[in-house]
Amino acid sequence: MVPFKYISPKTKNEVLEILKEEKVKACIVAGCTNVLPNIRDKKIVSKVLVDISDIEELRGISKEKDKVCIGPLTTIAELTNSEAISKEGEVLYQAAEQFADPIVRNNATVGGNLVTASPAADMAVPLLTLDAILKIESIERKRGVRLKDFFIGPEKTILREDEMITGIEFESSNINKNGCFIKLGLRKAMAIAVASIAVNLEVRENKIAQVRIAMGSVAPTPIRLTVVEGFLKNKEVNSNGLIEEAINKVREEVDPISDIRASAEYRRYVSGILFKRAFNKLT
Amino acid sequence: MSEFKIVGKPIPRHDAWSKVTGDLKYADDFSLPGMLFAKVLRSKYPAAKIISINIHKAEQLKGVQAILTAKDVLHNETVTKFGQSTEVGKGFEGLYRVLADKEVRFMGEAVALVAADTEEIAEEALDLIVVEYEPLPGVFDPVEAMKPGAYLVGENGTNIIGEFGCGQGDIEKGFAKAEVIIKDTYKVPFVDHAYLETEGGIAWIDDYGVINIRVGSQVIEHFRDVADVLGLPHNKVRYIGTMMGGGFGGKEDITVETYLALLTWKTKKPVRLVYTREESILSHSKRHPFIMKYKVGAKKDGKLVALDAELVADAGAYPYLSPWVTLYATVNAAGPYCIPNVRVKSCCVLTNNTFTSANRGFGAPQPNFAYESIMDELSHKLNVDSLEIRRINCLTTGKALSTTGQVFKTHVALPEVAEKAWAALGEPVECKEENRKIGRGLAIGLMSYGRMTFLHDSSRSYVRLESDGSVLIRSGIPDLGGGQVSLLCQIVAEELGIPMSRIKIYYSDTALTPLAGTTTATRQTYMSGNATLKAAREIRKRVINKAAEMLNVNPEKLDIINEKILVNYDQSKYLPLVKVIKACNTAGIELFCEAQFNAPFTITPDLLNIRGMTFPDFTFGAQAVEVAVDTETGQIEVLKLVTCYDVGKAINPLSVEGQMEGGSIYGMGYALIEEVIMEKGITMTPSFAEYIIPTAVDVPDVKAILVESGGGLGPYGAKGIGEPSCSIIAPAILNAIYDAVGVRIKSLPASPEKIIRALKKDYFEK
Amino acid sequence: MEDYIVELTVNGERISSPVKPEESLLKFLRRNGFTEVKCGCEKGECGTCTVIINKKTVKSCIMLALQARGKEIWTAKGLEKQELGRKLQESFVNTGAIQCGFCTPGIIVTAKNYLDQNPIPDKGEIKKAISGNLCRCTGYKKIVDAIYAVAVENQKSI
Repeated sequence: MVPFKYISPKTKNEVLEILKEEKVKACIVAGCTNVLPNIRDKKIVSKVLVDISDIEELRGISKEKDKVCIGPLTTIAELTNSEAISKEGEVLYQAAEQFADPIVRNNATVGGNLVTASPAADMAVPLLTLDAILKIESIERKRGVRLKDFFIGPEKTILREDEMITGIEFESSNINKNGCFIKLGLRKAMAIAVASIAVNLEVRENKIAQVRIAMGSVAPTPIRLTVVEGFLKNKEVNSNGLIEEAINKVREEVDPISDIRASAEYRRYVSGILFKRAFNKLT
Repeated sequence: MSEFKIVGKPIPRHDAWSKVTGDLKYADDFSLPGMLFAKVLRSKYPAAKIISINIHKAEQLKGVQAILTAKDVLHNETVTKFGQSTEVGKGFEGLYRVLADKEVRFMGEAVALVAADTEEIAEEALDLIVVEYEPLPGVFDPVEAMKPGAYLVGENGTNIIGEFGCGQGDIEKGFAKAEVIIKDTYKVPFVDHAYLETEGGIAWIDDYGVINIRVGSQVIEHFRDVADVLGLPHNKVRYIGTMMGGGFGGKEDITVETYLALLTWKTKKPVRLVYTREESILSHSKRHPFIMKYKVGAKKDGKLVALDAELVADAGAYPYLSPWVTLYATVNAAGPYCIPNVRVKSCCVLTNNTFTSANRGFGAPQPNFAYESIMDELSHKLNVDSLEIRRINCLTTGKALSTTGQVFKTHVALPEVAEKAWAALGEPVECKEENRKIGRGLAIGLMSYGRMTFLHDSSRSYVRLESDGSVLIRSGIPDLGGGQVSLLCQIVAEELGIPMSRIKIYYSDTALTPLAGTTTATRQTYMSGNATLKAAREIRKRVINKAAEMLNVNPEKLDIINEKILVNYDQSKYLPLVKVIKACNTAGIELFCEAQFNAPFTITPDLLNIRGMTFPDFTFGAQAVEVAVDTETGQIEVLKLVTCYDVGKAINPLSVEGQMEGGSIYGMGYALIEEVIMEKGITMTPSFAEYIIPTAVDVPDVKAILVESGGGLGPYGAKGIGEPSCSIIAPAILNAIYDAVGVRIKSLPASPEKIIRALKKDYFEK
Repeated sequence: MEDYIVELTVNGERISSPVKPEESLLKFLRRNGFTEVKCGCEKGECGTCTVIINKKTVKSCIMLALQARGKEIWTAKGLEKQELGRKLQESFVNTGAIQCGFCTPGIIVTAKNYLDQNPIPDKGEIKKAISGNLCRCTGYKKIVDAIYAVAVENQKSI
């Protein structure tokens, strides 16, 4: 067996150079919460482990005038300690507080959670309703991708072998300030979501001016519920039967599977409940 | 003796400091120079023929020192004994194979062993062993497996490996008298012990050619079985037991020991083997799933008149302890109730699932769930409150068990424990949320402590008073975390009037400590406690007699307190203990004693009609809970949890409370979230990410109420508590769920989904 | 092949040892004699391997040894030398918060680091703080009580 190698580049550009050179052989390591179990399970073999955890330029949360920028190396614990996150993107803050457990939150990174692309990814769901944009770079080019276009299947993203996420941004806006995240797990800590939901909402003159809804563990990837969003837009918040109809539409739009945690039918059912609860909290 | 000085006090265990600093060395914390690392090749199929095993490539790998398959094992088909001194026979013993031979019967069954210079090489070698399988259909449902023409797991022509029965009265007449009859079927799943320390150990051959195995095991008496497998005299295999990071019955069967012995014997080098978590979940025993058909008849006032129970247990791929567990369930099937007409029939059945064996409660939690659910149904149907229906039916001192007729000569603390537990819930939590309903549940129960009496159980212990007044104890007792070892120190400290710090105990060594029997069956307080008490009292008697002679007083007037032998009516008259010891030594009086305690012995019962004594005694308890049910998601929160047991005498209240608190949460996991999910023999919950147990934020503050009747058979009237403590919490929780939302969940765990499917039938049936 | 060296300090002691790139910090520590760091699942799901690295708790099974280069690590054994660590250990002993002891070093480490930052939490906060550390024996009651007793003591001394 070809042995593993280890490199710890000091700058973003070094990382990109290495990715270009090693391509599929490279395996980026940051919080390591998934990489080591995967090495042990032999899902990752013979790779060049590219440890980016010391690259300061990829870490941290900054508030610019109309947006919030999160370095991909930012840990979940750092999100829970950030005023900018709790003010500008509370939905993410709430999700961070329910992420795994306090110890894992010290290591796990936002970028890592996204590139792992689990259908249950607890960071992806709120970032979807914040309509986050990922800055993706290779040595040759930079591109910006909306998070909703990032996932293409379970553990699959559009990221090419020479690319990495170098930044996550969301707007400072009214809708982003008004969000709610709910996770339904089988226990209260260290839980993998049976279903999770994030809703961001902006109400103007009693009408739904803007709404974004995202769910985890109810489809092959974390998803936006664009049909429900379209249905709700411009509706009066308190109009008769609105929620009931929306619940039905949520249940139609999700596409869950049955696994050891729950059946598809239960997930479909509870998706409606989670939507109702999140929506009611925001109105 | 006057009042207790050490017994009954909440004192720290003697080994507590070594655990908080991490100094204590568990099985996996030990290494030897030049040791090899072992790995086990495991079956990928739950049922398959082994066509061939090719180890050629693996043998060529540099650093590989040995590869063993079934053909290298002298006595590969074996029966594990558990230190019992009787031959119980009747297919009643735990047959299994060391390594799979010609066929595999469950996924994860050991097929080959590798020892290599490093762990990595050993792992690589596993990948190079080529096993050619021919998959077989297998059978995965015990009910299917019982049918004529079913796929046969073993060679005996039937998958049924044990059948049991007991009862009294006339069941037909009984039901004829009933004014209300309830019939229901209850199911419980496979569960894992989920101790945090996986199975592991290290073995080497010492200067005298003896195989030494340093291992975490609940049963060091397995040294004999290991010797038998290798064809060695029993005295050529030695177990050195370590403190365990939890056992709960999962380290009761042999785990790594035989593999270690085989590999060290072959290579003549030290060998270490530690299971990964995944390997542990895949390959060690599980708690038995049961399908339990119950029919209970009562009068309108709630008085029980008849009970008919049929229990089917899934034994998995090999018998192991399944017949024993099934017998426990059979005896427990009517619970702590006086019922004039009872019939219980049960059996255990081989399937191609992971084998099942001992798990805390050993056949009690399963029927306890069924009968306590039925009692709750009855209570609602007849509108007799939960406490009252139990009060009018429960056993009391002098009454007999309705299944076997065993008479309770010791104290039966029912319904006292039930009343206390129920009252301790206090005022209900107020809840105004529309979708959150509060409910309460009660369950009472009994469970034996001490092994089945026809196994003729005994325990030995050695105590020696040193010339400086310090004490040495030698006991074969294994400690899986319950404080079994520390308990013996406490008893000796009490009897000999010395502080705990003056005692050194050597434990769990088959060559050097007297065999104390297994740490299973909630037996050590009772058995080794009594053996140690007997030894300590013998020495106490000798020093007191000597002191009496020296002080010229009646020995009955003497006591030992704080290392002084004093006259109890005039405490100014005393002798330092050390002085008396010197006098004893001079006079040639032996200040050491190895004592044996024997449990009551009975003959092996007629298994289809079990009558009379099968266990030395029972522990009685009650649990009460208050839950909140989310009526839209089905999520359950346990808000209050009370556990009340008659423990006889709490020798160390901290340890007893610890058992009761921990047992409650162990059982709460069983009630709500734990299940080893097997699909056609394949484990779908292979790690702690899928097999989940409660975390600190999932649990209520358990309130433990200790009743001390002094009515037990253990030292100072103590009873066993380890296993009883987890055996009735599941029905208490499920009864509370019913109280909250009117939904009766009849299969564990009570997942949110099961609750919602019952609550929202309209939605799910459309 | 093994030309990767990890140098770090554990409990104030400097350690230097060659490693394989994929070796976890847990394996590295245990291999170097720090067996108080326990191995329960190697997947970050049980917390028995928790250590403090540069004032943060980390599950050492899900961190590469190489990622800890140059860092300052504390284990339960080392906390014996620190006042708060010692207090916690004493409280665990006296409260009976220990049964099999396998989760204990990890929980002591978590509790110590938590109390350093939040000296007077309530019981609910303590439960949250240790929610990444499994215990199978105690039902958590006495563990929470033991940590809370230290918090109460902290409050008195403020």
